Amino acid sequence: MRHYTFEGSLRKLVEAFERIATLEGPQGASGLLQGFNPLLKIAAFGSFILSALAVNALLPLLFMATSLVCMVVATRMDVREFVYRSTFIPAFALIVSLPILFTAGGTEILGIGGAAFHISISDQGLSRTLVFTSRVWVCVATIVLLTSTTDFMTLTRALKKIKVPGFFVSIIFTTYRYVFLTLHEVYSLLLAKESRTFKRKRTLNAGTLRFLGNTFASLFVRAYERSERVYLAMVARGYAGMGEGIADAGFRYDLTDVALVALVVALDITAVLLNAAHFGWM
Amino acid sequence: MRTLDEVIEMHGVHHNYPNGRATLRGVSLKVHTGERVAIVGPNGAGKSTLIMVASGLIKPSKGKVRIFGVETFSEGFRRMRHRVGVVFQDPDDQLFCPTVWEDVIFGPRNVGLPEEEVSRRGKAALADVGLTGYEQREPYRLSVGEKKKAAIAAALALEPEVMLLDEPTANLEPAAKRELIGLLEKLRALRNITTIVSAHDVDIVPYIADRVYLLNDGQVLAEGSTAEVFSNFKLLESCRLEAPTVARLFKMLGEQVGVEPDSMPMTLEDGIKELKSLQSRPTGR
Repeated sequence: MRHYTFEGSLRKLVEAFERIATLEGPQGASGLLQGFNPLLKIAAFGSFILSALAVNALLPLLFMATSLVCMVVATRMDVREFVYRSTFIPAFALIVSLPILFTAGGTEILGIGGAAFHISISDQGLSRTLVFTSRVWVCVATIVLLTSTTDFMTLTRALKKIKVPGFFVSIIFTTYRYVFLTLHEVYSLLLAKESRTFKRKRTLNAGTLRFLGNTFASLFVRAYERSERVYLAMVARGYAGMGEGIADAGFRYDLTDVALVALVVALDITAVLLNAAHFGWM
Repeated sequence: MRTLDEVIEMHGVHHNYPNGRATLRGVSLKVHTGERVAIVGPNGAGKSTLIMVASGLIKPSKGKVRIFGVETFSEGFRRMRHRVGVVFQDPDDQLFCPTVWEDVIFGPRNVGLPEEEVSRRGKAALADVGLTGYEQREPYRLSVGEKKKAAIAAALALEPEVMLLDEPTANLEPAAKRELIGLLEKLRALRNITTIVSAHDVDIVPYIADRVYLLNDGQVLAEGSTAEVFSNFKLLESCRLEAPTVARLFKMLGEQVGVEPDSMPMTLEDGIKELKSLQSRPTGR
């Protein structure tokens, strides 16, 4: 029988989050999307997200999801890893949208209880919940695909190139760096605690709560001190803050980049047409 | 007055923590082009602070720091920062990018070099430290020795004229220490970089420095050649330090067997030479 500690579970959560947040890996592979012009890639994927927001039916969303998976395969990414990374946020979306299942109205497809107390799931509720969650998944998966096939430095430089405000790019740039450092601080603290935990309890007790309080207090101090040292390390290598540190660069494009944009736009149009057909607008 | 070959000059430098505790108390030092200098002292002596202040990363509370004749924290200094490379004690503080490659090219990109030059410098720096092939590795998943090398590569990519290394051999196993010493030697031979190293591991200092500043409680207690400072056993003891193992061995041989070397050896190789020379002396001496 396996035993779990609260700290151990929290540590697993940190590991999972790190796995999701790590964007590197497929960037080095020679797949379909890695070599494309990042500016055009941002534009194409941005239009894909806008299309996902514009459609309201399950069929076009399924079409978009299938298109994404095809792109993932063409990109030589691990499909399971891609699904793992892109499912974390939609899982929350599903939880948030659960009340719609019972409150949307429409024809009852499943009911529990009698005359005094009755809750039911309607066809409209199910449809809306699925559409909402699928839409979130398509949007998140598109961002995961974009960030997995474009290295972070290039992405920040591309954002700067398309005139995203310097401070905003700088914040993204710095946050991404600090996420890993903070995760490692948490991880080492939890590991240190677990190495001295001998009574294995699943439940949250007073001792664990006290530990968590102390851990987070200690984490803030350690994270602050480390951030100071990291900042100095950045300054030592010429970082001047507020986007100045992100070097400007010219991004070249050729026919293959234009072909990618055309492909994504074609997918967008198909999804919108499928949506229109579903609602009988055509 | 500044001579042309002065790289770093500190004059009467004080530094206090925000709580008022003094870490540096009137430190003055000069380092010249091509020199190999070590800042030696016990834990808490102020070595790391001195490295940070000397590299222009931390502003001194009082006193002046000049690098290549330009005062740190002046507008002119910002433009020439790339001439100074810093390697932090904890490589995790220094390696903040998601991949080794991004970390190594962070500096050259910040300087605004063309992409071809950035790439050339990144590749050369990784090759110099023996980390070619590590480009896409995540820095936090490397061994301590590899992290140290990656941190050195990150500083080298700027092609600095002077490098300040804070306890470069801290937490390394003996083999990795030897490797790092060899690497510093190689870099000096390849790039002729002036090096300033802080260390409390006195055994490695004779290999990586010709001149030593002995620091204790934020003050410079002695300055001189490695052999001069490390032959002053009483002074070292007063700072809770010991002379290199080989020097201590010869001191004990002198006290207990009456062996008197021509000069106090500081490294294992010098010790062997000295023993051979003693062996070849006529008996009776």
